[in-house]
Amino acid sequence: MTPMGFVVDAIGLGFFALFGGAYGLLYAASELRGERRLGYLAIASYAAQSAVLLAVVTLSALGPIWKVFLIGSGIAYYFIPRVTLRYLKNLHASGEIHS
Amino acid sequence: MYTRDPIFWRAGAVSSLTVMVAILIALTVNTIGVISTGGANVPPYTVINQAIGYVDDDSQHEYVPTIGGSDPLFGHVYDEHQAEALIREGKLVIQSRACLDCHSVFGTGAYFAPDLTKAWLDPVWRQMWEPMTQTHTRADAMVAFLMEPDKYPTWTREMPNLHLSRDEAKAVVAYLKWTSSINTNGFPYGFQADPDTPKGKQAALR
Amino acid sequence: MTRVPSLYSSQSLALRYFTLSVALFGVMIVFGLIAATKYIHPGFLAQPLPFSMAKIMHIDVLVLWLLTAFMGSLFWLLPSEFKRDLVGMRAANVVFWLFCITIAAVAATFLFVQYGPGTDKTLWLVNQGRKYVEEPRWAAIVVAIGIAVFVYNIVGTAIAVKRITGVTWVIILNLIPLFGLYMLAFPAMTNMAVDQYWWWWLVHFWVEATWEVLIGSIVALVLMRVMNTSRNVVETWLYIEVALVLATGVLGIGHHYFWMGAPKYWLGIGGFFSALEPLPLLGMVIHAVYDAGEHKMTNQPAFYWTMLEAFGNFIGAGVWGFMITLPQINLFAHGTQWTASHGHLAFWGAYGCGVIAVIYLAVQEAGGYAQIGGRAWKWAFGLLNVGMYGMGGSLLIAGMAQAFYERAIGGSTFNAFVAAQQTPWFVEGIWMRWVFGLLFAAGYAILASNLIAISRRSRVAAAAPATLAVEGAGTR
Ligand code: HEC
Ligand code: HEM
Ligand code: HEM
Ligand SMILES: [Fe+2]
Repeated sequence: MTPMGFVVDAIGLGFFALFGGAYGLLYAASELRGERRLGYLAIASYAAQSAVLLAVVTLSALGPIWKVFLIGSGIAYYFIPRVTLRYLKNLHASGEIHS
Repeated sequence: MYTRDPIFWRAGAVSSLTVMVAILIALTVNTIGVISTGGANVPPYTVINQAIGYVDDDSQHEYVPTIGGSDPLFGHVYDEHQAEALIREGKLVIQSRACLDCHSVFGTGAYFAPDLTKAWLDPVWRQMWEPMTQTHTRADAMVAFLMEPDKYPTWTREMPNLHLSRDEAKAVVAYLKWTSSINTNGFPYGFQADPDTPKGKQAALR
Repeated sequence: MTRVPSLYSSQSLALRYFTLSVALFGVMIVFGLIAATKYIHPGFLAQPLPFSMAKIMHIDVLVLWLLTAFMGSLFWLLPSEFKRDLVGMRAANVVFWLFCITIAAVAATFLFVQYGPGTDKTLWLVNQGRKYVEEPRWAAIVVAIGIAVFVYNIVGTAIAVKRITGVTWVIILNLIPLFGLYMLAFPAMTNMAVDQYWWWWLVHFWVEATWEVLIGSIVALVLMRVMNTSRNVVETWLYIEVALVLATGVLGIGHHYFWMGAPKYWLGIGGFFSALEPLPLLGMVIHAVYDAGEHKMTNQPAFYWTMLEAFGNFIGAGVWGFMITLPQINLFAHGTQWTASHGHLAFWGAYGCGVIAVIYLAVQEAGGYAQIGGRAWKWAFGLLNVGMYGMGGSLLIAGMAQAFYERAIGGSTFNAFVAAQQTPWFVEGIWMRWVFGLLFAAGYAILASNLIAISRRSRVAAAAPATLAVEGAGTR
């Protein structure tokens, strides 16, 4: 790995996680408040995350295994907010009946 | 549904913890073997009697320590017990003076002063501190510096005088010679060991 | 002292612990600023107080203000979980004063004695010289006894009431390893590799496992209290969190075993599992957003600090940790200001914000206020966070410069270190950290005075529990 390469990679990975978090936050907020605009922003965040991922996968000197791993987490980032939110809604709905 | 049942997740938490801790324990047993003195990555303390280097090993694409021929410390060959006692004292000095709240070893500690993992191999001793302290070996320069660092400042940040006795300073030097011989998977990267170190060791790649 | 009459005795003690905690928070900031100043003017206080002692005071007191706040939180929240007072409160009160005396004695030792000859005696009486747990052994024993009494307060009560809730189970089962790991504060192994191997169990398994579970349980108790979320829901979610945090965090310890002599397989294992650690933190962000929609907003500061705990944990630990956790990158970022940048943001996001939220909740309940609001807390909130994220950003810049010039190009020699410390990027980063540090300190001053103001008024309120419409606290 070249000296500049690792700095760029680290910045890329930072943005990767940051956009992933922004997507989750905005997605959940748009679903709960029913605000379309937040939904678009959420999609934009995920698109940004994917773009960063693509850049890292094509340009970085990280090994292939790590790249596969990153692609895997990129996919996980997409589903985690959806699954979590749906689950939380169901959980609270059933919880309210129990208590 | 079962995923909404706390019992399901409680079982999940307990089993994931159990599996992970079991793996951790197995790895710990293995790792302790490797990092104990005399283990695959950590030479015995008597390595202070030998010449130590640090080279770029092309086959592994990383820097590895080399251990070569005889290079007694302070002109003395330490047997196993002497070496162990000396290194033990070095560690006690490092803890009692809280060196690692300014420096780091293996990159862990504080960031106010340089990492000491390979300090023994640093070319700066010959270039700078041997002339300043009017000594002729790296070991003696280190002892002189450690005993009175305030007398040999080189830039704005100075190391305070921590009142090391000569024996304590020697013990620390032995300690740092030993840490420089440990295989740290290539950290620090690209460290150019003093080319002046005795020959032979470069060849004696372990 | 006159207090609102309906407090459990462990809750009175909790308020004392919170006071101690907030005071220690202030002490740590003072020494952080001193250490930061030394980066700019090495001569500043150089004679009386070397950098090392300022750093020790900064990070050891950090551990203390968080631990005392955790203890306060459980003393505050658990009685209603057990539906009775905790057992052994007399011993617990003695422990509190013992802690105060010990902390004062150790601080005096660090400031005026500082170090000693390289003997076991020094480790017993002066300084153990191991990061985060430098306190001399005698003091570490006092701390261990104190934590043991604390565990007894909780376990003993659980045994007395016989019926234990799920959250309490998690707390108890988690406190035992938390206490056990502290035993790793004592050894002085000669072999640095073995020493660091076990030392990291203490540090990593505290901050990325047991503390994470503890703060999760505390937040769970808070949620049931302020939002009436059903126990079933809260417990299910807590178990999920615990499962995920432990599934990734236990082997995630490998990210500290890359370069200390350990075998190479840690590069893969540590990189892989620690890179998964942000995912459960993302789940917590979603959960926070969900709860935000449900909140009734009777305690604005507690609400905002809880929200920030979830986001801050994700940013500080999840994003900043993720940047440096792959071995190829960690090789260069390791042990630089970059590490410090992550350490600050992670501790702040995961724990600092969380305990401040609980303290706001406690002062509200102690005073019997229907509402907490006002303007002062907003200033504190804003300044503290601008200060902290400013410091994190500055240290990131300094750290990247250091990693680049010293570790990657310079080969980490003495000369490379010195050169990197003098590059403009580094110097400016270090200056900016200092400026943002001042903002942070200003935020702290407002926070502390706001908390004092609210709890002062609570004593008035105790006498006349009418509605007081005052700045910082009142009914609207
Ligand atoms: C208060 C902070 C501080 C403490 C404590 C401290 N040092 Fe230093 N040390 C420094 C500074 C600053 C320098 C750079 C000095 C210079 O350039 O003049 C330094 C330089 C060194 C060097 C030479 C640098 C190199 O990379 O080879 C060694 C070796 C060293 N210290 C060892 C120790 C040992 C051993 C201890 C504990 C007994 C210790 N230091 C405690 C701040 C400290
Ligand atoms: C005014 C505010 C602060 C300033 C100026 C400050 C400054 C510093 C300095 C100079 C260091 C030493 C770094 C080194 O070894 O070179 C440090 C370490 C540290 N600080 Fe702070 N700090 C502040 C607030 C905080 C807060 C609020 C927290 C936690 C919530 C914190 C957590 C830490 C940690 C964990 C370390 C050790 C990091 C490491 O060694 O990797 N600090 N701080
Ligand atoms: C609440 C959670 C966390 C806290 C409080 C925290 C705090 C810290 C601190 C204080 C250090 C410096 C340790 C030292 O040398 O003294 C550190 C190091 C480190 N942390 Fe975290 N951390 C957290 C979570 C994470 C996560 C989730 C990751 C990974 C994604 C991570 C990755 C790292 C790495 C790689 C290092 C080593 C840095 C180096 O090589 O110097 N941390 N952490
Ligand atoms: Fe960690």
